[in-house]
Amino acid sequence: MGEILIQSKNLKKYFVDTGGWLSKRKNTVKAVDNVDLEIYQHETLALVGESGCGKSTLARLLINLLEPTDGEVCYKGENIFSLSAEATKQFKKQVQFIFQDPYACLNPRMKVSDIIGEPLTTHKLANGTSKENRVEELMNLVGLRKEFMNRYPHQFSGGQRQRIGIARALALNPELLICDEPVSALDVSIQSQILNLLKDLQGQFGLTYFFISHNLSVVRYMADRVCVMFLGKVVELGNCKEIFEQPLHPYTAFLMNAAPIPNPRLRNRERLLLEGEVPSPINPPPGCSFHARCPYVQEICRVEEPKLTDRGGRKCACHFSLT
Amino acid sequence: MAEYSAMIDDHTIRGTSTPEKDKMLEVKGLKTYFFTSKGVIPAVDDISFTVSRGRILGVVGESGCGKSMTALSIMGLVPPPTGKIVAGDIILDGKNIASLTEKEMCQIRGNEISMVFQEPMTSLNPVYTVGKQVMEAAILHQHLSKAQAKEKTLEMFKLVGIPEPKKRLDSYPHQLSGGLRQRVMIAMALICRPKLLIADEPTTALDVTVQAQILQLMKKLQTELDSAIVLITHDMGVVAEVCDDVTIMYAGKIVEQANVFEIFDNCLHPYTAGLLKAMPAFKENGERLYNIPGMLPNLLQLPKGCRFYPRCECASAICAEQEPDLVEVGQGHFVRCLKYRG
Repeated sequence: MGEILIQSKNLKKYFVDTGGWLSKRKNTVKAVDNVDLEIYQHETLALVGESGCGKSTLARLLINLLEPTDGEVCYKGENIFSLSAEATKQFKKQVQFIFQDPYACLNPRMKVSDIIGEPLTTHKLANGTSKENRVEELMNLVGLRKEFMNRYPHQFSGGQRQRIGIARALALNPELLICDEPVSALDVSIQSQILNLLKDLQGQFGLTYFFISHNLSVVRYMADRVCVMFLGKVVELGNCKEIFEQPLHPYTAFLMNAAPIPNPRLRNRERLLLEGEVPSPINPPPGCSFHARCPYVQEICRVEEPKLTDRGGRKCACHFSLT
Repeated sequence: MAEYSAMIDDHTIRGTSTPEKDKMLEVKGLKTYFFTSKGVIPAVDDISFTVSRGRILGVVGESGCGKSMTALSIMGLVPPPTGKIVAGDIILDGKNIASLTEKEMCQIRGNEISMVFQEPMTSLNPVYTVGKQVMEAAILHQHLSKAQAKEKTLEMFKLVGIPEPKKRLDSYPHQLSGGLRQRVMIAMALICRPKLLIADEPTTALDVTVQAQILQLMKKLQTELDSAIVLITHDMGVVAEVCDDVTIMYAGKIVEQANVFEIFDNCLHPYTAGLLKAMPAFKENGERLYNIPGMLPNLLQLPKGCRFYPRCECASAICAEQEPDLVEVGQGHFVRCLKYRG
């Protein structure tokens, strides 16, 4: 493994819901609660979890789109929340975002060349012919023909739009790409094209990916390490293959088991189905946040919150372990 | 592997050979065209399939292949004025519903056939409680009184596994999670005990854990109610989990049709093979994923010959000239490819 590129320490983000100006009620949503995470250079770290577990909030915190309630994020050793204005600008050049919905993330009134070239203009890196050349180069890189330069987003298919989004993210030669469900809106055959493209680009430019997805087969294909989140907390973190083959945390086991297997002969396999809904992040239960749904629950789980501890190269937040 | 195969009974394996009386829905030569200013778009072009009582048919294909339009045609909801069913029969339990008037269709829709849509948030009305919305179907079609309908709704909520069903009757859609909303949609679709349920990507917007719950629920309810289900999806994983028969569509036509085991073990059409190969689930990290080259053809300018020919890796010269027919290659296994003609 390479050096640590970005690291979060005791990162917290609480949202306070005051319930309107007449209400005396005050609810705190712990969207991200005490997350310690490091992303190494050139790796793909996948983040999985159900909707509402804080995946996107964590991603936004990592690139300074949100102010944390507490804790810090260090990019190459420096806390990104206490950088000078100039340094913040430099930092934002090095981290870029690929969004989930290729239909919503492109401005319908801008031409493709303007969309891809906009980061270059913002950071005053190129203009005129040099900008045009760079845009051409980027389009070539992601497999778009340069004749498409003067077209508008609505003239493209979903897969092509996602390529435009990727070209825009690459315009500033970033080191870290945050991919928030980049293929979940695409068809299987297009999805495989985009995944191949992301893999190629990673090899070519030594990119680091923070890959958010709820499609576990995509995660298994893309990731080096996997981080599983539940209600704002990391419950398991470790090598991708090990996590898929032998999950330590019961929640991870449920998640892996719920993924559909494309083999009809295995459809009658033994199933672990989670009962109930995800508990509300407002006023989570005391003790382990998973205890209400966990089949192996013991007395200690209801009282004491488990810490994320090292288990032979992997980390798991459970009083017990499945092995 | 052996013990799993042993659990699958003979009926499931042999698939489509079902007696006439078990046929719940038969679609014969259905054509739904759109007449636009740019030309005629054959969105659904000569589709035929059968769904039997107690079975789940999966309709699979990329976006724009006509799978949702097939569903809307069966429901009689093809968007006017450009869209029109130009030919074909839709026979529901022995009755042809393709030629019914809108008024007659209203009696059938929601009563004998019902549909679950992809987006549970947009298909529920945000200003009425979910209880009221589910009751509406029962009051309209079963002519129940309000109290009876409420009781029935409560019963349905329990059946689909909504926790605290009594309290949930008075909830508004925004107060429920995505999984619960989809359960409400299923309760609404099943309250009149329809003969046929059409589910258009019912789990695409949901998490894997909730998806697994909803799929299990649909299977369980189907055995209880003995209805037929048409499940529209683009996820072969979902197909493998719940479907009995599979129809693969490409550019408005059926390209392959067989029972689920045939499709996964012995698929014949290059497009089906491509869809299966493109899934990351079969690959190790680092291995390149297969992708089907090119894109769906523009339905306004369809290529001569086979519609899949420009993207096909096994294409030969004749594919550009001659349009293949859907031929039966094995028991209940149909394929539209010139490699397998006669």
